[in-house]
Amino acid sequence: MNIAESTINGIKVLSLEGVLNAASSPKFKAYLETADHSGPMIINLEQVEFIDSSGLGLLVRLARQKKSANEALKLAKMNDRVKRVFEITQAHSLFDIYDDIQAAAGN
Amino acid sequence: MNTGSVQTLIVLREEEHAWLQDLFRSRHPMMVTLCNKPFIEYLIDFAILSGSEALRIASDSPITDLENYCGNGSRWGITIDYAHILPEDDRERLLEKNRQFCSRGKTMLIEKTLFVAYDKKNDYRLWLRACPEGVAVSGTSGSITILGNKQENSIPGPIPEPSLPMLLTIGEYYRLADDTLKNADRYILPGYSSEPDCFLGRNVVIQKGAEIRKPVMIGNNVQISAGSIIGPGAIIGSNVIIDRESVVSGSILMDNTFIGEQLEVKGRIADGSLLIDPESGATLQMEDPHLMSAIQPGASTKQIIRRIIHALAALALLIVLALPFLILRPLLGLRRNWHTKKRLFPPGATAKKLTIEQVVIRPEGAYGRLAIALSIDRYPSLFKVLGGKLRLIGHRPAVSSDTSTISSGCIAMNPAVFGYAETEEWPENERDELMVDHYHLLHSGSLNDIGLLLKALLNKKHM
Amino acid sequence: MTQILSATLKAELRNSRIAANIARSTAEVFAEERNFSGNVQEFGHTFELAVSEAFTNSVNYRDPSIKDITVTIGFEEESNALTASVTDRNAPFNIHPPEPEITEYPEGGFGLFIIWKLMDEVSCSREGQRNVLSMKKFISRP
Repeated sequence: MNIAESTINGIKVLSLEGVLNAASSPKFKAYLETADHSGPMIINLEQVEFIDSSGLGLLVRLARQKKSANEALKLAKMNDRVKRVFEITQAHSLFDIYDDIQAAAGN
Repeated sequence: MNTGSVQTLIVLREEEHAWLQDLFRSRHPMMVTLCNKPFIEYLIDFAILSGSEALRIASDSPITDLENYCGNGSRWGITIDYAHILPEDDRERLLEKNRQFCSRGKTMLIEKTLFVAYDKKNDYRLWLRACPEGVAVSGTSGSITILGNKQENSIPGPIPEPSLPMLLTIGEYYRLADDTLKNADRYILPGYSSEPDCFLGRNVVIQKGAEIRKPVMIGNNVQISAGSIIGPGAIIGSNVIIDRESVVSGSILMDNTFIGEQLEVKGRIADGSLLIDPESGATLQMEDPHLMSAIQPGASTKQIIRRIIHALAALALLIVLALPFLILRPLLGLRRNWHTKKRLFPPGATAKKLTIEQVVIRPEGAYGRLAIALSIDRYPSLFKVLGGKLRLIGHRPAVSSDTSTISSGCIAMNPAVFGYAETEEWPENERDELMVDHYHLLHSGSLNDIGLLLKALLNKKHM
Repeated sequence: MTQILSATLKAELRNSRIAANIARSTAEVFAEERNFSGNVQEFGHTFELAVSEAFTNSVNYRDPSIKDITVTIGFEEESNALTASVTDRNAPFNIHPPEPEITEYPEGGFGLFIIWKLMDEVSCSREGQRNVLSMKKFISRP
């Protein structure tokens, strides 16, 4: 899995690419824990080809952290395969989900 | 911006249409049918008539049944996808979240709306083309808003306009259904229609001596017994049985409803065991099993006698089959042809669930076939009949999850070792089986049960 | 039921991707061969996700004292259904765990819940020292 970081409108955008499962989520977890990721954040899921409950658990954990810090976390460009996992678990009710990154960044 | 394309965004919020949700709890309000067609399909029709190529349903609550029904839209030739919004999202946030979808061209935003009155003979593309940005149609029962500029080359002349009929009470629903049936040529309605005002679904059995009076609409898998009079103004859903000498007129029977013998249903809406008076809005939950559906596992004397008889018959079977079981069980175990499966019953229901362990034996080899012929696979479950946990004959727990739509809510289930459906040759799918199970549950007494049990023992379908 | 294939993989998390990919391809080929009227990719994704979850569970709950421990995935076909099985040597487990309460932001406990949501039939049998988790999905009614 690859993680690319960029900024739009001063908002951090993490673009994930590849597979987010039990084998790869530790890498994402470590990435989130090593640097300072405070402030609003957008996660671009367009290039995520597969996510399972381990990857989902990590995003839910991040959502909880952002919520308690009163910071925005937005998910953008979910493809159908990713969306299905959110729907099955009802996890979509925890996130603001956008179909466009610019719109998520308030542009 | 590509001004050429048109798309429709339907917004569903859980707080809307509470009156419908209160009445028909087991389904999403958009899946409640009007003339045997879910509300959502009228909106899809209208989106297509307006020239939409894509349709998105944005909802703040689970819409699994809706998604299963609509799929990707291929059966209507339109692309349907789904988006999630949060209950607190306002219009602005909603549009931000769906910006990419809306930026493809002109967008028709349908909010708070269950139903759009259209006429399929009209070309609503003209109407949409002529609509300026802003609210196009608005009423107490929803609104249609146009996003994106008016197109330059709009055509002058008579332009058809859709309308949003008032739809806030069950009385208004009832009148709208009646009106839709009477104006059936305006809409795309389900069923086969060889003559005006008469729509028939698949697998409709009308027994000799039953009378059908137009206008009438009948869904799929419907059985109308001798001496019944159906119509005028009857809308009968799918999987409905109307027993002997009953009269149904000016009424709507929703899917999976059973109408008992010699009943008169006039000016009512029936949904499973719920009877609604559309004028007053009063509802009545029927308790009499011979009247309408819902069989409650109550503790009446009849029920107790039935339970005792089931237990006695189970005991007899336990004794008779003891020797074959003791011989075949280890043999099947050695051949790895004895598997147990845990199953939740009823499937899909959220309330009270019962875990049932079933034995699966493959009809392989002489022992496997013999064991199935002797119903050895049911042997362990017989003990549960002694304890009153299962019936001996009743509903056989279903195999797949797609029965959840019929089992949830409207029909009470009696899990059993043998299914009534196993006494008949014809049931092809679980819907058929459920109807047979249900019919017998209503018509069968304790002694009948024993007769049916023998029939099931001799007539196991998988033999 | 006819067996299509059986593959034994080392019980390591990185192999969950291999298991899931095998599951997806098998399910897609099965659905295509049967002229499945629904969405073939979605049918493939169903098995990919379910097997990924089951395999991950098997690895996470493996007995660390056993060396070179493996997990076997298998596929069996019927005319109208495909069954995937995941066999491990772990301790028996409860296939009806409590549903995760989403409003409490749970980080785990989704695995079996997802499997139950995806599949038509889920069962677990104990064969000797093994757990066999079977997951069946119909493509049509018999």
